[in-house]
Amino acid sequence: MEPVVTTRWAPNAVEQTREIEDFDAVVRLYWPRVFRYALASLRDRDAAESLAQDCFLKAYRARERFRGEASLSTWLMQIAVNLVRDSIRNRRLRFWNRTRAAAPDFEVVSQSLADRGSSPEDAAAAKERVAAIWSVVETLSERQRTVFLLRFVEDLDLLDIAAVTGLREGTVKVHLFRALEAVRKRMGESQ
Amino acid sequence: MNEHLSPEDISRWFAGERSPELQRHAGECEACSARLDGMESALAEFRGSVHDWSAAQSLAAPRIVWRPPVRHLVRAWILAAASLLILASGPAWWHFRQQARAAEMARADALLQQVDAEISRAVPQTMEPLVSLVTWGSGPTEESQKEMQ
Repeated sequence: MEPVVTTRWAPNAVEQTREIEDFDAVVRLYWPRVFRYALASLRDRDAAESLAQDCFLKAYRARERFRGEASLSTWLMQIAVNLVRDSIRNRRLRFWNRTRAAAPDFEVVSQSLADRGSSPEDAAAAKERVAAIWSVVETLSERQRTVFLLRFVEDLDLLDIAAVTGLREGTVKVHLFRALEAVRKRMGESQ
Repeated sequence: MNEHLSPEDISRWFAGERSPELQRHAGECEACSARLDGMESALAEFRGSVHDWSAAQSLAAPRIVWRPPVRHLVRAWILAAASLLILASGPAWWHFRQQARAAEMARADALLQQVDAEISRAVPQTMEPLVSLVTWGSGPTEESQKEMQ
């Protein structure tokens, strides 16, 4: 089972800086989150893995400068968000078309829902809803998508998202609201 | 607040703007509560789908790559060895340079001495025997004056 990763502001900077000393453990603990965010953003397994590696390499090289002011998770996600943004810009936004085929396998999604005890009908409906949300996420702006994924995939609260993205909390709310409006409208159409 | 939540209210709710009025209405109105639940479960399914997908994509344990790559280590060793070599060869190079400079100075001195010797002669060395036979100058010598007298 994946370890629980906390994202709140660090209560104790000393503990945070001590945690980073065991970098092997840091990689093991935070790899899933960084990789998942990269995968959801880039929808390309190889690119996501490469980005996650870059993220941890950057963090390793900069570990002396980590003061524990933010949580380790927030700091790593800041690096990941910047790398994703650079990666998308480097690809000049072609990535979305190129990796369209790498969208989640919705059969797997509905199967996992069925495994959780849902009826076939419920699983099929859930599969449609997930596909509808994915289709909206494709069309969101870069910031809206970043904020949406951090909130509803990584479960970060607004303050953490603001810290990770460098945006103000109010700006985060605006991007999130617009993304949710798009999702809600699409959901309304699909129902 | 007696009116049902507007569609925008639903989005605002999930964007984190939950005024006390919205919260009160959501707690009292079954229809609005069901709409919020529907949106929440859709977002939870989306979250679950990404988590499942990510877990399926990264079945293999992540390679620990945070250590500097081997080529970086090799480069670092080469740089260190080159620096050491430069530091160690510095005094030897300085000594060699001093020796070369001394030899050059000696050659220059020898040349100067040779030049001095050359220009100190009135005539070339091969003509020196003739100097005793021939009198040089514009006026008569003491011997020729005696002969004329």
